[in-house]
Amino acid sequence: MTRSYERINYALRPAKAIERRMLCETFGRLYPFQPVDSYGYIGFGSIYFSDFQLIHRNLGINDLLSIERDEDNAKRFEMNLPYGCISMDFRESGVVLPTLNWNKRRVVWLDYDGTLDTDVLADAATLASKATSGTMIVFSVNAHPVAEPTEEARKITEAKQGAPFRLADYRLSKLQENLPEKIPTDVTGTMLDMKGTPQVLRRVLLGEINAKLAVRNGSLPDAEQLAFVQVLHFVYQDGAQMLTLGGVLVAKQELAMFEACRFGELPFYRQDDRPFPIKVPCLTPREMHQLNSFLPSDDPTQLKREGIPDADVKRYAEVYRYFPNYSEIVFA
Amino acid sequence: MPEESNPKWIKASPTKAFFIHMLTRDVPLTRAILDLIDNCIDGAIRERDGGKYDGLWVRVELSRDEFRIADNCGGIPVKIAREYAFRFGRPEDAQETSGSIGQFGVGMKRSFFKLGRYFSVESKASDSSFTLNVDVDKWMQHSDDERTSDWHFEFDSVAENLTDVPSDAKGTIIEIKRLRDGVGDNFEVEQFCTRLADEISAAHSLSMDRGLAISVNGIPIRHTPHNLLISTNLKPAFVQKEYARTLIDGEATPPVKVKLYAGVSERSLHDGGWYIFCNGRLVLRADQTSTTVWGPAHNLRQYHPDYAYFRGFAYFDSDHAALLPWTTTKTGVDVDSKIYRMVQQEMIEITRPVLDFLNRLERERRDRENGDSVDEPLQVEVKNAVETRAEGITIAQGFVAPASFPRPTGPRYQKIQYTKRAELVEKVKKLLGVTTFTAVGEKTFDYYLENKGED
Repeated sequence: MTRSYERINYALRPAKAIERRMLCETFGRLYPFQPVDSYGYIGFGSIYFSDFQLIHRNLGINDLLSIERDEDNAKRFEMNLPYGCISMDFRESGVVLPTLNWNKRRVVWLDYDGTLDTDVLADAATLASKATSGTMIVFSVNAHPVAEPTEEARKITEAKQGAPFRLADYRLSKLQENLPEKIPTDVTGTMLDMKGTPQVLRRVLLGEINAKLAVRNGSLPDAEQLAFVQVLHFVYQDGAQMLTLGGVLVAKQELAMFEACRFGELPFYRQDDRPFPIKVPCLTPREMHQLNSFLPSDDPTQLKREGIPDADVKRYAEVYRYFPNYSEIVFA
Repeated sequence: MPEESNPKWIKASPTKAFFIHMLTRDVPLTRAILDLIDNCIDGAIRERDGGKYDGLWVRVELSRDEFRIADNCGGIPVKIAREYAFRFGRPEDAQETSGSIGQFGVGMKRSFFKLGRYFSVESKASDSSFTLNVDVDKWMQHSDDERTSDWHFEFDSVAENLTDVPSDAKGTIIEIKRLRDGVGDNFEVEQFCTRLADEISAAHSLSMDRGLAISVNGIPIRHTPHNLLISTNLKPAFVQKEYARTLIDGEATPPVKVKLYAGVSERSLHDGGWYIFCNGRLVLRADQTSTTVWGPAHNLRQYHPDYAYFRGFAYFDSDHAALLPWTTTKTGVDVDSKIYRMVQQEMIEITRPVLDFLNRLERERRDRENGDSVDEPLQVEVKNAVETRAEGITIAQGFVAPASFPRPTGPRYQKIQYTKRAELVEKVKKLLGVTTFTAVGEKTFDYYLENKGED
């Protein structure tokens, strides 16, 4: 299996870069629970550690743990560690997460290479069962619809089921293979298109979290009972379509702290099944400079620049504060 | 208002026949006998108050015409016999035996009815003694109505406030005669006795570990302690939890203490899995289903031959036995109980790293089989680890597994295997001028690469 960091340089994926900055801004709002620099951070840093750099520099978090299953290349990861305060654990997240002390508040961003599967759900279950109130949990998974199979695979499927091939059925069966016993009964194959796939995955992920919270709450006094409150819901696409779902575990007695974070003021805040789509406009540096001088704008629809499509202007107005700057530097 | 004269009165009381039928239907014969042993062990708990059981014994005798179980575990005090022990169902105000395994108020009676139609109990406790004989057929002929007097038994003799009962005379003897159809036949079948011994050995291994001697027809039951492999680089996970009862049902009484162990033991497809004990009594043996941790419902793989090394032990203990997640037949766990569902998540989490290690162990074996590697450091580690009693581990720890060696850097190799008609292979052998099949394979591969390869 090729590793995703060998295929793509994370630093160069614009939607991902925007997402990263948006997440960082979200994390910065956790201060009503406790000073953010005393939070811990857990992520999958890969060899680029882009999230770690941003979080350490912007939020001052020093307790940073990167989980990395690719133990064979341990030397390479360690060589790329950008700061001394990042520790590495070369085991599966499913093995590492249960062993941590979850009384400490943390920001956890599990940015998986693959799609939602039982390993991801196991991590979600662990966090829901163990993490303390005030913990921020973000999952990113591949949410691209299952691709049409090759002609050969299609014939095998047809032979096996003795019926003509239907993409919708094929998609549903693939999803069930990945997430046995977890797909809600009302989900049909036709839902599993570009728009519907992330919706279904979100339901399954929230379903797992809520099921585990119900068990946990059964043993907690009313004031300490927890809910997972969604604040982030992104869908974006640098290559394959991705789904990011984030929220905070909040005990009833700490709801006021959660309210004080005022996540609702974030322009990309989403609490329901309607995602915030991160769309990257294609603009030149000069165009962006010009637009910047009119931003922020109370009404971006009124913002018009001759020659630039309105849609791109609108998109830019939504993301400009998080927009990465790329330039070419030649090392000699 | 008397029922006869009340036109709104609807009869709903059970008949004795129905009651006995329902009660005995769900319990297998071996389990009925295990239930009677549970009563002996409750006696031992009362007698020794949590200490060792050295010197205490339980003797089970099976024959075509009679079942007999005798113990020297302290006897049943008359007060307990009169108020609770023979009642169907456990009254709310029943006095608790700390850490007892008799709980539901059905075990002993159910066993009597399951086994035969005549039973006698003779008990000597420290300050009281009694004898009791019941002819079940006659007892059932008492009229079935809602007057509770028809549900009572009667002591044949009873003595209380005794002071001079010697400690070696204390104990209980239960005899059951006029065995039910098939029961006596089973008792003569050797396989039945073997299975009974196996089940006793598994169910009561902890009590035997504490010194209790159990025999069936004079043959002592042996038991295997719950062992896990331990070495410097391989250590089982151990988690200890205490669940305050206030969290379980709002009442302040003793907590449930839980100890969980997960690790590696001798490879056995049949014995691999989770074992669950309630107050020392095994209620689930080598579970390989979603009742414990296995399968996608719990985000783990199904139990699988690669996991035959896996052992998990879960011990639930409480002075208030009603809080424990067992079923009345003690043949399983109550999967809907709150306490069990909380502990189950812990069980899943400590299982995962062990399975992760076993997956690596299997990969190592495959690599070796395919000729991709010659060493098997993980297998060596397992072979050199020492069987150790799980209960001996007292410090909470995560599962420790030896690290895999990184795959050697440099070119990777791939083994190829194929089958061709023997005469053709011989022909190629001659053409190539070689003598081994390996050489045939290598030479033909090299030949193709030289002629068609791009570099």
